[in-house]
Amino acid sequence: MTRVVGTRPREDLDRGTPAGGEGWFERWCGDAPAERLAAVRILSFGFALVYLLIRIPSVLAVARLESSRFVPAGPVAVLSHPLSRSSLLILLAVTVVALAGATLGFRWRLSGPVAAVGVLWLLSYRLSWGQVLHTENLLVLHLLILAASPAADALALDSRHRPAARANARGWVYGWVLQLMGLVTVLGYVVAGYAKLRNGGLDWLSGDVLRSHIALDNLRKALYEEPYSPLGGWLTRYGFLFAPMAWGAMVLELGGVLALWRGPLRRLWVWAMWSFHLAVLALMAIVFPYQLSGIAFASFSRPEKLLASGHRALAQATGRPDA
Amino acid sequence: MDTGAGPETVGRGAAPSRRVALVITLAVTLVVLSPALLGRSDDFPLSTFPMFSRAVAPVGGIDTVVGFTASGGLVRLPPEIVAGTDEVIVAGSVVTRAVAGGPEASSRLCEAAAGRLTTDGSERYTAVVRLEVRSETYDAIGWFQGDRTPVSIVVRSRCVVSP
Repeated sequence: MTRVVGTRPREDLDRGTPAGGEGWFERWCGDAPAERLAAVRILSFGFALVYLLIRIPSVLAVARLESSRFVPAGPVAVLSHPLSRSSLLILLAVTVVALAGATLGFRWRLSGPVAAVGVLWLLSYRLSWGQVLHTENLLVLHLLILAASPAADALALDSRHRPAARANARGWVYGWVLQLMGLVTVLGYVVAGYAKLRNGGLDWLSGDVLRSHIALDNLRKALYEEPYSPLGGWLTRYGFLFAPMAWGAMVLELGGVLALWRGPLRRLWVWAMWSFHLAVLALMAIVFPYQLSGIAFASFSRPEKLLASGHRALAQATGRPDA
Repeated sequence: MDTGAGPETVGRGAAPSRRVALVITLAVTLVVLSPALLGRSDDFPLSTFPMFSRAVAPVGGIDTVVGFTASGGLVRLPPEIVAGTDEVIVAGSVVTRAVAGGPEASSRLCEAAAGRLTTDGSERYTAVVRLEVRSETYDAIGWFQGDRTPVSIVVRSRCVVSP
């Protein structure tokens, strides 16, 4: 069966307005221009490229660890013993090249999946030596979703020879993929909120647990000669502050479901969640790079506008309209 | 999902139908929630996000490795020396597991840390002559108010740093 889909006014696509006469799922997906999903692709894969380049020493450092410490995480569970350093180097090189290709939208059907799986594998491998951390989960999940989507229909080297009408006809697919990314973002926070209630019980909301964690985490960093938050440590003397903080964190994490629908509540939640990560940095010296960069929340917004204004600024600065 | 549809067609062999999209959406939801719903242990990238969720008291134990100079001066060591990682939490976890593994495991960690310290080459640690794997207990809130005396210290193993 083949269904003909008419083109939609550009303004509707920009606003994410769904086509009329459709069910709740269609309304939830909405429509989006190809440039929006493409802009998210550029930002997410570009971020992953820079992040991986910065983390190369950390990724390679595990090759020097005692093999007895190898506790495979995620897909690395298929390995019974660690990889050689040369295998790691090859994986790293392939992933970096694929990430560059995916960011540019070059050979997307190959570069996107290779880059996403490569990042998944390398970051899983880095976390297979004693403790799973939680600052990179969302980045990997977003890359995997993007890699399986038509995120290079625009703003890509691949898309130069593609008819524009195709991108317009796929508006609901772009909107759906962006919503799927948002869903994964929100669900991660919901699971984190649920874990606090399940493991800490209602005591977690009293603020005492949060206060103890902030004090102990900063102390551990101090004892290991690492940067810690003097602000977080100092604030622990004021116990009354921590119940509102605990409630605030819980409301934000569980209340993420409000961000699944477009509107002012979504914007409010995104800003509040970004501020939450800023507070975690200020009080615990824990960096969530993907979230703090704002790119983790790009699927909730209109990043193509940002890229377009950057492009215009570049054109003005260079005096070249085609810059 | 990227199936190379023609310019105005969405159907079989093209982009997914909305029904397929709905099924994928539900499947992704279940997959992301599955670690919490099924009570699985933490993993990557699907996680139960247990960090900072468990009830803890402000007086708590921190397992670490410290160095001593010939004159008995204490030198704190970074995660890179302690466990060969740049992550404090990972280093702490490695030491805790070694402590839980008994004296032999603690000794192995001590020797490994001593080896890393020898090859580190940093001037900061040249005066360190021996290491201790130990569990230090502090009142963490008190520590930030100036009370830096540990509640207790339990030494798990000692080793010498080869020059």
